[in-house]
Amino acid sequence: MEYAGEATMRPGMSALGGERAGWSAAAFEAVFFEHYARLVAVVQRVLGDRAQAEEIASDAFLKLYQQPSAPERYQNLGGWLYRTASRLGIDALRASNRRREHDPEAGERLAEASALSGPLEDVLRRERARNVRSALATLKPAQAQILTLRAGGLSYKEVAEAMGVKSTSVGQSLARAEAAFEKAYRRIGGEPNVHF
Amino acid sequence: MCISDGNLRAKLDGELNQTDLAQVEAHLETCAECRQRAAEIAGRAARTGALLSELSPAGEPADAHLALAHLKPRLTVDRAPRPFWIPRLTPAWGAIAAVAVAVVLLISPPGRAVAQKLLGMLRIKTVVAVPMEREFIAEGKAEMLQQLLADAVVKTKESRRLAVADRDEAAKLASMTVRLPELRTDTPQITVNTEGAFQFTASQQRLDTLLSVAGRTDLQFPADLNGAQVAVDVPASVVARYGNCPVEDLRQPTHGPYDDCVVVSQVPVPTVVTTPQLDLSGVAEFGLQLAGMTAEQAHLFSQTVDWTSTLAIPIPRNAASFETVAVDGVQGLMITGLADRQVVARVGEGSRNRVTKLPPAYGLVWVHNGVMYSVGGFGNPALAEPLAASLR
Repeated sequence: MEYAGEATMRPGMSALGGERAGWSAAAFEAVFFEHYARLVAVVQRVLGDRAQAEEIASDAFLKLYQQPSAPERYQNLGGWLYRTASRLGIDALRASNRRREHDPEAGERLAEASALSGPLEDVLRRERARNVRSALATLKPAQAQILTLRAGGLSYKEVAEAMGVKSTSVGQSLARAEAAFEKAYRRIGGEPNVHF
Repeated sequence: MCISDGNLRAKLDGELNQTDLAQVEAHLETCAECRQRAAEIAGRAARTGALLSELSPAGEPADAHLALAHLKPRLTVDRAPRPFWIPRLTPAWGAIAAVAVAVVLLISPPGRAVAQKLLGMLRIKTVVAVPMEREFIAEGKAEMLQQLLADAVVKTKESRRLAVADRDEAAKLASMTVRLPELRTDTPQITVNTEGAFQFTASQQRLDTLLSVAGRTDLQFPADLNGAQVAVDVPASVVARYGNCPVEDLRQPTHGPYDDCVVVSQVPVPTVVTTPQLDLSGVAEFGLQLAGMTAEQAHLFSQTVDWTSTLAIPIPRNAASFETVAVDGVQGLMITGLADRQVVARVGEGSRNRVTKLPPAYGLVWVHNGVMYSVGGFGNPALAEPLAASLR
């Protein structure tokens, strides 16, 4: 653990367990335990990488802890956390997508690695997951965000809180995001795996 | 009027309220165009949903306890740039919990005796060095363990740090004889940490988390450790700082050089009350393994020490050396070459933290007449013994 990691902390923050900054240890822990696992799941969906997802979820909590305002000002802590973590996740996804574009061999290596590790359907599934992620990476971040949050099982109300929008507008945004996603997915060359 | 895409989409998810739902359904009955659009939206939603479900995370839910233990050190900013040979005296429990090993030594077995009275009492008479793998300290694992254990600690008496004017005031406040080195003729800054007390209850979950944080899932706590209780009382302590020392309050700037810094601390040994049939050497062996010893090394080491009366001080194996020396009429522990302590200092209001390295530190620790003393600094380690010998 490098001390340098704390370099962005502001004066007046205190260690968890300290008495300042508005967070009591118990309150912070309660929020952490309530949301951590689901937050990881949401981000892992986006990134497909558990370790990275855990890191991002923790980063979101760190950001929350560093918020200058007292926690009671955050009516929707969960919403704030999902917004922050999903955005961080999508940013990371877009970044890795860019890297892949610039390093075409990375994709091949990935494909090789996939091919080496498991039966055909697993390989296909991974291939599909990769296309889905690539498609997400090309969407507007807010659209990628709403899709992943919804896929993570958040209700419209929760999605609205996370995105900072009215819950009555979630249906509309979702419908548009799905249309955009389908277009992006087709462009990438993925085929829908379900036909109606 | 036709139904919006948004409402058609929300209907699929059962997210329309009663009124809207009734309206939408009534309209769909009569409007073929809307039915067509609803079908398209439903198709897209289903296809997208199916594709996104390909991303379903596999495996167990994330372990929040473990994650929190990792996160906590990152939340810590009031990290005292205290060389760790100076026994941590604030908060109270820290004197023992200086690092995990010391704490682990105090965790008593048997859960079977939870109902029994806590009768065993430990009195520290000597100190001993425990060589630790440097990585253990460098990676902050010790810190994580400490944070983790701190959670389980209930402070029954909060220690406060008070600045005092002189030796007499310190002696009065701490109810003890305060000894200061006559070799130093300058005036020290003296602080008193008032008495503090804490209780600790070991739980299986916490112990398991502790092991995974330490990366030692190959080890196993004795099963009946679950529910064990420890109560620790740390008497008031006195810390005298001479010269220019790194400040513990990070809100103040700190500047070297620290060559003339000497810190003398003294505290009547803490009392530790725990279950009477405590198998301390077993727990100690465990702690030693946790710190990087092999099972065999830990066993040999553990046999040489009377754990009921010994405080273990972890020493980074590659970064420091130690030797036993005669001091104050007893055997003391001299530690030198502690070179890699970092200071996070904030220079000026609103500026960012600065990461610097402390110069090599030395520390001399001993227990005399029931009082634990330490003399340490950043200058010439050869001064430690004369300084200690000049305590009056």
